[in-house]
Amino acid sequence: MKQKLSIILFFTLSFSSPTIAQQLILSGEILFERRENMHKQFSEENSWSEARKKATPKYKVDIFQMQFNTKQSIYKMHLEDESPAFTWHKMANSNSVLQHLSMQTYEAEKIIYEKSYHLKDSLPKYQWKLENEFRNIAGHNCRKASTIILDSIYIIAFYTDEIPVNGGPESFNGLPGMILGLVVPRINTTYFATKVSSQLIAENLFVLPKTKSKIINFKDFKAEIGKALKDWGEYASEVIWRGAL
Amino acid sequence: MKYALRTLLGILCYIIALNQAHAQENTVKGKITDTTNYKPMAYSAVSLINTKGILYKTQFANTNNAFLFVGVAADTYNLQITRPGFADYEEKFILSQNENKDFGNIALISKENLLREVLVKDRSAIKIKGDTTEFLVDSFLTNKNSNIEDLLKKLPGIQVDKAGKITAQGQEVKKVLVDGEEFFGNDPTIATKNIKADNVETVQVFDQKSEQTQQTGIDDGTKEKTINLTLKEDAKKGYFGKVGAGYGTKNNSGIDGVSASFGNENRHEGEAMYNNFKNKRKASVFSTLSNTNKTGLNWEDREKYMGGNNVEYDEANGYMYSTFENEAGGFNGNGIPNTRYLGGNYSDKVMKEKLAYNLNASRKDILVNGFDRNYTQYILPDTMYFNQQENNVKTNRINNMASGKATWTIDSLSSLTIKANLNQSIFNNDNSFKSENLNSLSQRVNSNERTNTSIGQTLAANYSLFYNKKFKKTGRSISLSFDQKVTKNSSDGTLISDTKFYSSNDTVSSEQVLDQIKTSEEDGNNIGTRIAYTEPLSKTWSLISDYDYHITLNKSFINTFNKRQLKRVDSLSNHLDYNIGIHKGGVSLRYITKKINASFGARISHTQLSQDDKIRDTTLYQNFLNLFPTASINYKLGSTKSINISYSGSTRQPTLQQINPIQDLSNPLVIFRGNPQLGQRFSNDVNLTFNHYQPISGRSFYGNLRYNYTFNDFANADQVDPQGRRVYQTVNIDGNQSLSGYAYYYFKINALNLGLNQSFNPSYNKNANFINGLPNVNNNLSLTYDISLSYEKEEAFEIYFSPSVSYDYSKTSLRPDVITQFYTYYLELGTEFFLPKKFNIGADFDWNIRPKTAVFNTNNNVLIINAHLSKKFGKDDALDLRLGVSDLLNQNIGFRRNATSNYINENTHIVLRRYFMLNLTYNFQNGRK
Repeated sequence: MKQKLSIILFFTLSFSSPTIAQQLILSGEILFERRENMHKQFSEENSWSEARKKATPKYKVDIFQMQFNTKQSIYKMHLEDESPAFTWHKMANSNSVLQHLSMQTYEAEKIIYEKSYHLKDSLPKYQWKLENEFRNIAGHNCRKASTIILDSIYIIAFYTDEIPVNGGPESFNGLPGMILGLVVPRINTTYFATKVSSQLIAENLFVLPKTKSKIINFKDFKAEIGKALKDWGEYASEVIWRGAL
Repeated sequence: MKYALRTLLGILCYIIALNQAHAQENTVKGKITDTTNYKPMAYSAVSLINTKGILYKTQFANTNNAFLFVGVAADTYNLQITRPGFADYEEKFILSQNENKDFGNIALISKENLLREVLVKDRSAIKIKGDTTEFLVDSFLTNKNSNIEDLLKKLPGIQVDKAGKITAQGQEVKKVLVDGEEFFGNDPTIATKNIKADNVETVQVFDQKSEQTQQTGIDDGTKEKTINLTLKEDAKKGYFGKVGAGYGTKNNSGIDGVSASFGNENRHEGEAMYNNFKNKRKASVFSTLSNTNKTGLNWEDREKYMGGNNVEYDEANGYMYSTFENEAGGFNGNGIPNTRYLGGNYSDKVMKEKLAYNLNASRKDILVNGFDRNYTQYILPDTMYFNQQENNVKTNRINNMASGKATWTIDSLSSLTIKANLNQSIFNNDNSFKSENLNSLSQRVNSNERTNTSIGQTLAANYSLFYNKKFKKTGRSISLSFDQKVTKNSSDGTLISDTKFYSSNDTVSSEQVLDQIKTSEEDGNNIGTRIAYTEPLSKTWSLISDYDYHITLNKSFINTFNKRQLKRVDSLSNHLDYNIGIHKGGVSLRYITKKINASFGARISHTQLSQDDKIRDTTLYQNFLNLFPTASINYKLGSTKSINISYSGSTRQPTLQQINPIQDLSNPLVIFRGNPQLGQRFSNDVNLTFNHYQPISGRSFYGNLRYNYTFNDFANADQVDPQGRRVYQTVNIDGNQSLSGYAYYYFKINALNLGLNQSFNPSYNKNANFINGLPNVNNNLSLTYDISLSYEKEEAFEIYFSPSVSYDYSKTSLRPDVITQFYTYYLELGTEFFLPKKFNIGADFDWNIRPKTAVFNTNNNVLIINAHLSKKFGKDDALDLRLGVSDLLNQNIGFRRNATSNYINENTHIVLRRYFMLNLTYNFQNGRK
């Protein structure tokens, strides 16, 4: 009986695939544009901030590439903003993230100042609140959801049921559709998909580059940075928020 | 095929899970169908949402169009199924303990007939609250600079005609309120045309009952369509400021062995500052008066009341700096000041913030009473002199300043900046000196008593224009600048001097008495222009070229009269024109990649110096052609490590004083004589920097090494006669060089949670001079090492501790037998404790240990303790009462030690000593900042 069922399923799948592909994207590539408003960090009104604003482009724009299928996704830097104004002290600036959606685990390569880490942990769980708002991103109808991470960091996500994959940029996941837009107001950063294409992704692409980075779980990673930057006050929190994305 | 297989495998796993789930409790399942088209419904998004709207579980329907949630906690849920092209399906259900909910077949309805597109990006942008319709402005605003009228046109259901008449929901709007209040009477257009839409948070449209209804409470049925604009929180308006006054005890400053005491009046401090702002417009005034060392405004107050700190960005080198008027003859810590300061600032951004301007004016009147004593050792080829000099200084200076700066952003690619500055300084100096020279056998050689006075003013006016244009091609830009500075300095002075020269048996062998009047006038005019052009050659290379021409015309009239004979002294008088013209042009190539930022280039300059001595009727021309190669390379060894090496060459022209062919007799024992033959100098600098920043490991290193070699450097040629009289002039010399380094290392002691900063600062320099015609090479070495650490416990205390030691060594080639070396120790400790009830107590300790040396045999160890107790009062801690003491042990002396060439000097001077002071400051503010 069980065997019979699977055979029927197989046939159903083979015949229905083209029809599904017309509406839904099960495998493909997304380019995300990450924009950070660099002027927001000079919010204090003084002549120093004014000069810094003049010397710094308003936005830092990096392009990330995500390749995915229904079971996994790989997210990495595609085109880095190389403006000389942004060369120093980037932390968690070009994370590579491999999400094993089917196993609910992930791996990520993150550089925090002089150290690089290889995170290995179960996928973070978010308390997503679904909201009744819509937005079209890169030609796909998205719905809004929001959550709070690290007790206080408000995150807004726009996801689409046109891509039935629970993934998203960085380590975000768990929505009824792919996240195509992400807003992190606290660090003045947005991620929006600019291009979505449907294509088959070879299995061997779902790997992180081999590095000598320290293998660590998220809890220890957070603790290590927190401890090192203990005296930095508010700025340390910002480094942790960036690291935690 | 491989893909299909894998999918199949996944589905098999799923089926196994399905079968296992049968055994478990609390499942939710169902199957999705599309009754009209019979399309497959696999991958529809199925979600369980709890009553708080939080997503509990989500999955996509399997290829059999089915979904199954296992292990679902008992609760009330909303089942949501979404699928592109179909209307959302939602069903509320309650799942009790041990219940398996089966929804059976769920049919989704195709959206085809529904309105597909909703153009308002944000659905919550329009809200209907009872009879009020509210529009969130930001969702409709496309142009930041539009006014309310432009905005209203965009809102659904609102029309604005050419005359400005507003119609909302079919009815004419009679009133426009701002934050619920009428804005300049009943004409709605005043508000709509004058308020920037950007400042408005929401637009509310409602029917306001007639005034009569509002007053009587009886509804007469008359209603008026009304629009209310609520302003954003950050629409700024208001004022802030502070008033403070302090009164303290008398001071008794002095120097060992000097009977005179200074500062015998009560200390006082007063300040009043006010800033009124409205959006970008800021107007402020301030005034301070004090007879303490507080002679100006601190960084924070300059920021608030003087329109900022003039922070500029150097684009080529990528660093920022702050320039602040360092007024000529300002208080340098020598003596006891009495200051009256008054100023104001006005700044605004107009024309849609395209034109920003800033105007400043101030007047500072500072009177300084001081006293200083110098011990100097002159090392000569065959002998040595010891000089002791005492100096009584009384200086009054009034600085009047007005400045303005305007930046016009013409468009996104071009801008024009205009700056202008006018500075007048009126001074009145009255100095009296007493000095004595002893030879190596401690016999008196000469003695001098004299009084110098001078009254005069310096006037400087300058302006500059800077135009910058970028082009559409990234990296291409042109900039043009033009500037001029005109100076006019004049002074009238007197000199009364009596010098006695002694023979070996301490009897006066000769005497020189001077009674002179000296008038001087110096006019300068510097004018020039610069053009720079940058062209990108490729993605990584760009070419930068520039040309600069500046000309300086100086005129100097100096007349010295012998008062008794009323006769001009020709050797001390002159009328000189000194002109400098410099052409500079260059090209450099810049190379930028992710790791390397390098530039190489060269500039050529042609300098023409001319001196026209009108009295002696001589003219002298000098021409110099210089090449300045420059190179700089910055290599990034990772995101937190970099190395930088650079070379640059530069020239400096002699000053007017250095070349003026007359003597400066203001000290008859130390006479300066100008050298018209003096040429320009050329300096070469090589700089190496290494930087490694490791915050996670708690370490940081910065190292810098700098080497300088100067061709044709300026040096003193001293002629010391047997009577101990020194005549010197500036000459050119080769071979001067210096090497200096700076190393900083920070590391964190994790066990103590303490960061330790260490720095080491060695420097070596070799410079030459001439003594009595003989060349002399001075070798100086100086080493400084310091440690600093700070520890703080939030809202409890802060401690800062820093000891340092430095070593100085100097040796001259003419007298290798005389070696000067000494150590200096310095220890700093700062503490601040935060006590309950808003009390603060703190103390700073500065301990200077300056051991006696062979030359300096006085004890100069000083421990300075400053302490305070303060308390904040009132609403928002607006009042601050502070009791402080400066120099609790009454030990402070001003001190400088200098051992650079063949003379070694120790200077001590009067500074403020112990006084107690009670200060009360009131900070006030109103409005949104």
